[in-house]
Amino acid sequence: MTFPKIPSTLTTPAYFLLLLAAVVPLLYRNLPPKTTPDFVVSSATALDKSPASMSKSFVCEDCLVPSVHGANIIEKLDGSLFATWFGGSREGGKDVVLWGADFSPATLSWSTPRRIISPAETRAALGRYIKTVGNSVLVRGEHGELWLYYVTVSVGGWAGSSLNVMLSDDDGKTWGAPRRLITSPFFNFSTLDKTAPLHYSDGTIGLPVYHEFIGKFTELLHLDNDSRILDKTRITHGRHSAQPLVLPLASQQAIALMRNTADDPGLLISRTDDAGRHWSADRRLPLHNPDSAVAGLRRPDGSLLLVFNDTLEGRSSLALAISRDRGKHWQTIRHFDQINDGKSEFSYPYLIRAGNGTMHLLYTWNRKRIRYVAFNDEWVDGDKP
Amino acid sequence: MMHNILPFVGQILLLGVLIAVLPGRLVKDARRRTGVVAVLLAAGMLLPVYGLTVAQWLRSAVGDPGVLTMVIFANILSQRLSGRNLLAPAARDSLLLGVIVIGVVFYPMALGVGAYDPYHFGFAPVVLPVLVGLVSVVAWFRARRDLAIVLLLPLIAFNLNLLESVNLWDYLLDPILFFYAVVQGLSGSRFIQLMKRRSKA
Repeated sequence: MTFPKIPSTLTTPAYFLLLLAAVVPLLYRNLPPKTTPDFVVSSATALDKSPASMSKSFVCEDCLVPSVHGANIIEKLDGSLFATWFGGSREGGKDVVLWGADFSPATLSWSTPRRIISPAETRAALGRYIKTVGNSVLVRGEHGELWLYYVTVSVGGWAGSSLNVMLSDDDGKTWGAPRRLITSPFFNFSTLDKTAPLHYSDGTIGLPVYHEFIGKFTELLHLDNDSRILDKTRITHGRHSAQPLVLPLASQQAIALMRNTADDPGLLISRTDDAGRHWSADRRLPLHNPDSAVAGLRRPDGSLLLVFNDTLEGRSSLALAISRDRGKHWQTIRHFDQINDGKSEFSYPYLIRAGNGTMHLLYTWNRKRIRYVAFNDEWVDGDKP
Repeated sequence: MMHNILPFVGQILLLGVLIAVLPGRLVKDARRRTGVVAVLLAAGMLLPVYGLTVAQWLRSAVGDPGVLTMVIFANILSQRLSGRNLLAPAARDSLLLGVIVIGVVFYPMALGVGAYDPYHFGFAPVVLPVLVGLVSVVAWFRARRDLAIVLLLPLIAFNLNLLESVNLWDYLLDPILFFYAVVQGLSGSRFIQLMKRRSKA
């Protein structure tokens, strides 16, 4: 028996009414196509002239779990700091949860780590199996709200991960229920975040992400003020790049610096001149890097800072480089940790610049702790001790 | 809230199809088969196994089916339980052929082959709904009226935000439907004949 009933009862005029009901609301909502807004680039041009300072400590002397990784940090509305990272028995373990801690500028100390969310809590909220959690990125919303984008895995390894988002209306003290973002058409495999977000002139958010399933490539998610995806742009394609650090240089220009996951290590760079709609083919920078994550920022004078592992193998040296020509040439000027024993690991940096000009760096310290470094412009530009 | 309803229907259909195709096959009597499928389906939707229902475990692995997948699943369920097609076989075959043709190009590109990402077109879509609408009109005037109507359902569901995704592609196509279409294409002689007819034309 076939299906003759609906067509015989639906007349052609009725069909066209249905067609209009299906197509017209979509066109009404989406026409004319929205143009990508400009990047927000700080209008300040002066560097912080305070005497050179640099301090090193740990976010947690006792991080409560054997293995920690993937830290990120944001300045809170009151000028203090908030950091999140993941930790458990081992990376990818089922007992891994997201941790958070607050830094008080008054006492110059970090609070005891507290649990932000676990796989079980995410599972309860999403009604899906969640094996583990991973990288997280904190993003300040247009109205001061705090978003936390974090990776979860249901099936397989990191290649099977997907992105989730939570909202905090009290600057990180409490969090709403997580929601899953659909970013890939293939079982929603596999989108991961790691690097700092960027902001657009209309208050929307750019979240650099990367894909690890079959292909290894980088993308830029464009999100509205409710963390809904407006668009997705491919920065690179193929099987050789990850963890894009997008540094806006001007309203329409930006560079993306990326891990090179191919056999010939060395950082990759790509450029956009139309606010991220199109990106140039990636090319290798003459900087050593053993396929490991980078962090960086643009300073008010236009110079760019890059924190990266400056080794060919292993992550036992973490360096600071500077570019004064929009990313064309880089000069390594400092090392934050350098042992070069082939065993130590100083990796996964995350760097921000606070409103007072102080720069705050977090990175994984031997997978046991999260290192915290605060430094200022004079330390960057001053003579090397 | 709205985007929880259709995924729930999708879970019912996905689980229902699996039950109807596998254990349902063992029961010869049609009425008893419907009862067995209903009982197993209720158990799969309601009883937790290691904290999640079977439907939620499936959802964890394969995500939410798209609207066209749900139509095909509903058709399979109807076939298995009542022997009736909801969709004319010719329309079903045309739909699955289209899924294969689009899927073999779409998925490699979406997974990183080349600089162009077709998935990007599904966000705030303009071109995609127009193309789907045109295909639907062509189907209507070529007497594939059920196919014409079915093609409009994902657009209507997208307008109503009935799935988690904000990308129209996820309403039209998903890997479950693609793999099902490929398996049907490889195993169904009628389907292969249709492809041969198309290639001759």
